[in-house]
Parts: sequence; C-alpha cells; structure tokens
Amino acid sequence: MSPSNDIDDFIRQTLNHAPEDKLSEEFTERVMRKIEPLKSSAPTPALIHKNGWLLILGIIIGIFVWLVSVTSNITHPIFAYINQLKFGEYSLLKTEIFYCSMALFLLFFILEVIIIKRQLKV
Amino acid sequence: MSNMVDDAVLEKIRAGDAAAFKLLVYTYQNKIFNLVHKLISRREDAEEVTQDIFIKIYKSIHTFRKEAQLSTWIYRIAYNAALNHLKKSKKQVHTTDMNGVLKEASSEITHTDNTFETQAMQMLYQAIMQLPTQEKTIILLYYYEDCTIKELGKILGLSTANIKVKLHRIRKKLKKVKHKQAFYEPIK
Repeated sequence: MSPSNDIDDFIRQTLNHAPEDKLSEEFTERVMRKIEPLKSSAPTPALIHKNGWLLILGIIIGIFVWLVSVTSNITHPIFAYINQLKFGEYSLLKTEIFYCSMALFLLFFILEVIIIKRQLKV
Repeated sequence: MSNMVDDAVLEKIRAGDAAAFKLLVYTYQNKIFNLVHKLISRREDAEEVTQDIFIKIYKSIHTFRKEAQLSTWIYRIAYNAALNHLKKSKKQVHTTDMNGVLKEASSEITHTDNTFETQAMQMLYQAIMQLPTQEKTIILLYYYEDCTIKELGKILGLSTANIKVKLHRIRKKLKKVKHKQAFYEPIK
C-alpha cells in the first residue's frame, strides 16, 4: 500500500467512526412550516434570461443606429458604405429593410422566450 | 456522490408540490446538517443555518439548470451559507499550525470517549476539525461524502487543479499528525 493510500484510508476510517449529526422529523416539519408563507409569493422564473435582455438591447441599439443613419445627413464613411450596398434591386436603406429588421427583432424575441422556457423546464 | 432525488421529483418541486419538496428535505437534511455542524460548532446555529439552506433551495430551485448534479448544487448553497454565517459571527478558525493542533487535540482526548477505535483516530479527527473551513469542507466532502474532485471544484468555486493541490497539502498536514501521534500511542 502506498503512503498516499495509507493516509487516505486512515482519514476515511476516522471519518466513518466520527459521531454523526442527525436531525429529527420535527426539523422537516419545521422547514415545511417555514416555506408555507412563501408558496403564494414564490418567485416566478424570469421570462427573459439576462442574456436575452442583452440580445434585445443589442437589436434595439442596432435599429436605432440604422434609423439615425437613414433619417439624418450623416456623412460618415461607414454610412456611405452601407448606402452603397445593394442586394439585387434592394438598397439596404429602403423601408422594406426596416420592416425586415422589425420582423427579425420579433423573431429573436419569440425564440428567446421559447429557449428560456425550455431551459427552465429541463 | 449519486443524485438521491430524481428528475421527476425535481419537476414536481418546481411545479410547487410540497410533498416532493418534503422528500428533498428529508433526503438531504442529515447530510447537510452533518457538514454544516462540523463547520459551525454550535448545534443551534448549525440547525438554523440548515433550515435557511432549505428555504434558499426552495426559493431558487427554478434557477437550477442541471449543469451539475442536484447534490453538488445543494452542497454549494450549504457551503456558502455556512461560510456567511462564520464570517458574520467571526468564529472562523484560521489555524494552520499543526503542532498547535496536535497539542490541542491531545489535550482534548478523553479516555471515556469510545467513538473512535484508537487514540490515533481521535487525534486525527480533532486535527481535521481544527482545519480552516475550506480545507475541512474538502476533507469531509471528499472522504466522507465521496465527492469527486470535479464536484468539489463546483461546490467551492475552484478549479480541479486547485482542489488537487489543496488536497495534497491537507494530506501532508494530516500525515504529520498521524506520524506524531505514534509517539503518544501507548504500546499494547
């Protein structure tokens, strides 16, 4: 037997011989009485996880930046670059894109709620 | 360390089933109290802290995401609660000098106490009880509750490498106690 196993066995044996602390059934009842008033005010799980809020915040900021870029005359090169981008016949700054952004925002929101609800169930 | 409360019971607790929660309390109360009482010496305080632990479990059971075993999660809550209590009452033992521990341990031994088979065991137990809270928790959970290194890491919020190093150091300390007691042990 190696010295390491020797001390391991000795500690284990010692703890197995140590006096065990036990609680009565009365303790269980006491805990149950204590949680009784909490039942009605039991905290419900958060609908949106903290990461979900960050995602939504990110989307909102994104939409805000996009709106600012559309409605103002900012001549920053990055907006000029976005303005140039085209997908087929659609320019990125067209109104349809705004609706798409809103639809995506809603989609993310719904997905987030579904994911969090699933996580809470698992 | 196996999970003593299955998923079905866990789901029932989350749905607000009081009987299921009672089962959880009944299953874990002695295990938790056993640990807490060894960290907090006063029985009354240990009972109160154990009670608070179960109330906390009830309040936050919906936050348990099964990233670890339920028992690991419960032990983490228990360890933190005991630590908070010790910080509040400022009774935490910071003893690291094992010579002092040995001296104290030997003076506390009573010949009428038949719990331990040998004086060596009695002295080792006293030495374990004199360890700092974190080290004592590691020893109790690893050797008595059969927690794995990984589980210990999750309970104490440390890396597995850190737990291994700490275990090695504690073993070394306790080995010293074991060797020193040989001089005290009467020849049979």
